[in-house]
Amino acid sequence: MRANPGGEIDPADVLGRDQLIASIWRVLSRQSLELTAERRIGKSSVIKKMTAEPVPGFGAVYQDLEGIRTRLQFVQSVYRQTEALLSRRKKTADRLSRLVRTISGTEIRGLKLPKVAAPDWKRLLVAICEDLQEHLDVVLVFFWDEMPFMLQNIRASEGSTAAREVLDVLRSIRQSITGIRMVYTGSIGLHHVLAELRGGGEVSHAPMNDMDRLDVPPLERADAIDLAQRIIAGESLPADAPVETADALAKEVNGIAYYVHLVLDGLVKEGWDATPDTVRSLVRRKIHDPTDPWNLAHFFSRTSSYYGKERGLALALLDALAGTDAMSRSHLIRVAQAMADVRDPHEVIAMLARLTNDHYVAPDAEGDYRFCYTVVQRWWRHHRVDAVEGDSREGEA
Amino acid sequence: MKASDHIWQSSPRRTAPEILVKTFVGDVTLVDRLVDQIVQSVQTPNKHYNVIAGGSGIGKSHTLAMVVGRVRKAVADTDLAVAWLPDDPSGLGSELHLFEAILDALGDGERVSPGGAREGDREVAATAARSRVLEVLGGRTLLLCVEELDQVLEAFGEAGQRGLRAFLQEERCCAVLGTVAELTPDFTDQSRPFFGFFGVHRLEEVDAKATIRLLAAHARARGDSELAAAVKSADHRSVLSALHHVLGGLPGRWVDLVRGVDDLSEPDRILLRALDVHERWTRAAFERCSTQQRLILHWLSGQRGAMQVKHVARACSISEQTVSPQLRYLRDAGWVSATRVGRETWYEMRDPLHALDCDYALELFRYSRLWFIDRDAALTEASPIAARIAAAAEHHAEDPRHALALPLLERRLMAAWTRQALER
Repeated sequence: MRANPGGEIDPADVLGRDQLIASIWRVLSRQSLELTAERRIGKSSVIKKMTAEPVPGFGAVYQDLEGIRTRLQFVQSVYRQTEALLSRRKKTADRLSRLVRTISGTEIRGLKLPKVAAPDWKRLLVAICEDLQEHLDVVLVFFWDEMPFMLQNIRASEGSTAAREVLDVLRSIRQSITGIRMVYTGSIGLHHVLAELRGGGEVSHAPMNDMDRLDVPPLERADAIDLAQRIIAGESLPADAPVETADALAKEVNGIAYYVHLVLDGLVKEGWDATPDTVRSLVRRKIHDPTDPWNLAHFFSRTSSYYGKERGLALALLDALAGTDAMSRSHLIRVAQAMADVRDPHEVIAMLARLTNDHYVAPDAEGDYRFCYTVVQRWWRHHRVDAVEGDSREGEA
Repeated sequence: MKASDHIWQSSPRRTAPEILVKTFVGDVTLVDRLVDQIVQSVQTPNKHYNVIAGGSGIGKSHTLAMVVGRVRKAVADTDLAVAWLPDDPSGLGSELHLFEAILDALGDGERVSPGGAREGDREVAATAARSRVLEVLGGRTLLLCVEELDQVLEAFGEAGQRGLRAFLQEERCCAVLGTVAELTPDFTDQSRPFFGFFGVHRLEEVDAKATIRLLAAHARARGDSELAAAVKSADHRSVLSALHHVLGGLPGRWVDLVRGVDDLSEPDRILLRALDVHERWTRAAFERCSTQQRLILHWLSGQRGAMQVKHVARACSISEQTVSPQLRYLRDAGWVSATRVGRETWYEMRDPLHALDCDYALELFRYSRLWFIDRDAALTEASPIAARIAAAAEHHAEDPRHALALPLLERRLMAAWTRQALER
């Protein structure tokens, strides 16, 4: 296997996801779900593998929705995929065709829905799903990647109400059409987009309360080691101890497949041998580099938009956790009281939940909190905690 | 004579592949790797997205053309279609333009739609053009070659970038190979669609030996065997080594230089030509710098030795967070060098001749040349050249860059001399 950071990975080369994929199919046998994870953890690889290798009884469609800006475009995009699926079975979307004829007085030409049908986008979408239900003998899963971006785009071009309507119609389809499942994923958490859509004093809106929610974790250590070993071999990297090197790399990058690819690609570019030392050295250099080639500062800078006025509390908690392996909730409450002047423990508990949702921290088996990803923790410690302490030491001197 | 017999400096892809190979002095290992990845993209569902990065004249387009030439030989036309987008990216402002440019590049005469003035019409046209691209490909893998991809992405804006990314993700039929002068936030910022999407291959300047090979190859290509022989002779080694300290290792500048040189017998004349080339390229590069970058350059060029990010930030009254990416750009563009010492990175000007008086630069060149003829003589304080440099520096005493240029040049000469000694 070759290093391919950021590129398209052959579904057959997506390793270590069998258990996760099995549990996703299990959920899909009863309901739709939202897949969450930090960017570059491998969500898209997982759902593309599922699309390429559906289990018996299921069919799958993958769509990247980030380029869609209107509701009609969304329906058009679903229709294009649907038509391809139906034509393979020598079927047609009859209900949709009839509906378009009724609305516009014309036939559908070249898989293009007429613009005059835009106000009827809900009926069109429902008709498409009903056609699918009628003609397919499998449960069809729509893997909708980058759903949050589509909602943001629709909100920007057609307003918050329009974006909310999309979610509501999809919920209604899930309720009424039993042969359709939906998987929402995205680089940004849907909870942030929902919060934006609820803005302006709208009533509580829970258009996904019928969906399960699953987090895509990084690879298990053994799988990350397997991946690293395959790339070391595929790239013909000189390695006296490939297993130890792969193990060191898996540990350094928390099993995140993207970074496994990236670091080994870095070794190839540098012309270095693959050893535990070169792996550690390369990761350390990237984390400490003031020009921040992995843009880990993003985890810091986005806190202002994520937490707004409560950013101080978030930073106090993350600063405290960056310097340690793990910290109990009660300890973190004391930290918040001392550093962010937060008296109410419930505020701290709520913030910890938000930080968990946003993949900054995660509670371990004992309930203690720790950073989700050590690369982020190490960046945080070096550039925030050590830098501040270093500066104050310089000041004292 | 055919157009492809000419060595196209501005657009190497127009040059015949065999001439490209003969005049290539860049990173052959990188070419092999990129070819290998594209072939893998054709033969398997893996798809590789790469960019070749580096400042103007470093050889990005030549490398790209080399890769494409090799790929065309390695893969049958029935499996691969190459769409080389126009050199000028200003016409690629949207998804529709992109797909139409791909169709043009693939030689598709059928225009999908004239497009419309209204947003909705353009969207429909873009969807149709996208479908037409897939139709024309007919199951082949598309190799999309995009010069100045940074500018294309900028022209696209976030919405267009998301559309392009969705196309790549959904269709999985395309390998991308682009060039970028700099890694803009579109590549380096996690919040942007293409963050972490491309493998970045940064080109390095070539060494003095490679520039000699380059000059000889160009002389041969234009039929000047006398100059080709002269370039390789030991008699002119000191001139060419010293010139390397003026022009650096940017192949584009050397190609520019060799076009105006017939013989090497008059070193001063060559040097003046080199200074002219140097100044033209430097001015063009400076014009591409932002106001902040110019401020940083101005301050750094007046410093004795290397500086840390925090020093630059304080001196220029810019936050460290802002200075870091600017320094990264200046490093990538070849303006400054970055040296890591422990946890800190130190930056300094790379170019010893930056913004110097020409007569003074000429003296520095003569001094450089002397290093490669007789280093001891060059380092003798009482030598005539040392006296002339001291006098010239005194003449420009009000401008610290003149006083600083000599130590900077000497450090580089010492490094080159040590390297040569080690090789011997």
